[in-house]
Amino acid sequence: MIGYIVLRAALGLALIAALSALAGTFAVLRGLSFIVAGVAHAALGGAALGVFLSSSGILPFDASLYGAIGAGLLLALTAAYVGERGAVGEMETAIGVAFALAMCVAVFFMYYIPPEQAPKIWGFLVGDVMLLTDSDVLLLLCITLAWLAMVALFHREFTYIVFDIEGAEAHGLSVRRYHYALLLMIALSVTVSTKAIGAIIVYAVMIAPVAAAANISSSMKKVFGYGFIFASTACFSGLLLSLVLDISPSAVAGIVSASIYLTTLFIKKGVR
Amino acid sequence: MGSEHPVIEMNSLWVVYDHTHPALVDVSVVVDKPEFIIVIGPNGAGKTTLLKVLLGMIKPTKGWARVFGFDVVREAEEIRRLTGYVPQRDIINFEVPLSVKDVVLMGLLPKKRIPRIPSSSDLKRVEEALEFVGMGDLWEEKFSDLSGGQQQRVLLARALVSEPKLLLLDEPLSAVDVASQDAILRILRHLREEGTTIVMVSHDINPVVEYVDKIMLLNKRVVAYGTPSEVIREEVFSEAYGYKVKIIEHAGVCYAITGDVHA
Repeated sequence: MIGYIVLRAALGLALIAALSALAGTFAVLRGLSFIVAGVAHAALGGAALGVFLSSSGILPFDASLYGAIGAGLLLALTAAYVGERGAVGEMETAIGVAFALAMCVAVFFMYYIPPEQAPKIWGFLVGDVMLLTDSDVLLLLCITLAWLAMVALFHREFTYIVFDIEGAEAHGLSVRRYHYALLLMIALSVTVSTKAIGAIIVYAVMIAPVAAAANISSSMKKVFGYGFIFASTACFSGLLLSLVLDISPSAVAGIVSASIYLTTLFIKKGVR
Repeated sequence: MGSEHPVIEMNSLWVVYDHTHPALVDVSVVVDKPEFIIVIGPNGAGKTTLLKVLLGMIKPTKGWARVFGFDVVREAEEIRRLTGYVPQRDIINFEVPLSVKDVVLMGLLPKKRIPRIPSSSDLKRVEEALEFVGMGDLWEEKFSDLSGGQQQRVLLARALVSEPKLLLLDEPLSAVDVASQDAILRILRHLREEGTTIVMVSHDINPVVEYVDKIMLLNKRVVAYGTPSEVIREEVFSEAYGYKVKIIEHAGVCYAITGDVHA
């Protein structure tokens, strides 16, 4: 049983590393690293609303995940709408406002949720990779496959809008639809990853490894490749050390991610 | 539609941002044959807005504009097929690691159907466009590693790779060394001779004055529009800039000392 749990955790982390390389790359290069933190915390607020609706009998099923996904997508839609003309600064502001609102919603509903239901919400903040369920892994697999299909079909379009959204539009690309698709896919990836391993580690493994990869890469393929390698290194060093020592895998993953980023930053500065 | 129409028509065109900030006021201009036009004016004069209106990226608040007979609001897609665009370089994200070849392909692939896979003829056109701007040997280089002048020439190649009939350029000479400025202007003159209409926004007229057919002096309104000898006059420039502008003549060519610095 323990072997199965570890294997499931390893599979989940591999999928999260893949999502980091895919969603994180476009979030970082679009200048929207903050959307990962924003969506992860919006998911917390949405989960609180979902748990409240379930526990109060308004909805006859566990709506925490639906609430989280709804809140994450709503934040991404708001940011996308504000940034339709490509203004990253305005999108960051909108994300900041939505982030604060979601946290307030979470705190608001916490008062009305039975104490035994509260762990469902806190799981979105400080998850545990060993507590992944089969459905978590299945969901991560579905989102990863959707990303791979999107990138196979539209990697040029996504790359163009992160490189020069104005030039892309002027040369005939319908930038609006790709801009929305990109932010919604990032939000979906972050929400599902947050459900699996918690907001804190999601931010650590979605941004730092890809930012590190971008520091040393000469092509988009290398950003994806190095991003996956760095995210996997962070995730699996956390998992392996937690099996040997009594430490938090999330904390180790976060520290390894940040260390890789700082190392590449020095390499980049040294090259210049 | 196309050749029987003027290249550009703007009629009583207004653009007002946030209902309160006019960027363009009552602009009416017709360009009925291929010409090299420079649009100059002080910072905030609406120069970039004018280019974006012609590309259908900003909708006029009042009035209308057509390019090759196509309405900028309803038929922007057709206009973009016939138009090349060089944006200001400072809007480009240099963190994205793209090769020179990939940047130039960006001028072609959005016009193709999904999945927009480049064909061998697309790559040939990219090679030709890069050779045309004197950058043929750099096509595998990382775009962000190039100098400012080289980057600008690559962006020019991106705009030219689809062989546009109209070329719109936003500050292509900004932060570019003199040798690259000269190379870019010679390329533009060659294109003009081949029948391409060029509309170039600049904050400085002096490097360009020998090359252009017309000057549009803009300060939200069109203050003057005509040949260099008609427009480069102290009273006209002083009205546009709001302060005394000195005109000096050298070797039969007039130069304006505006002292304007692009923000």
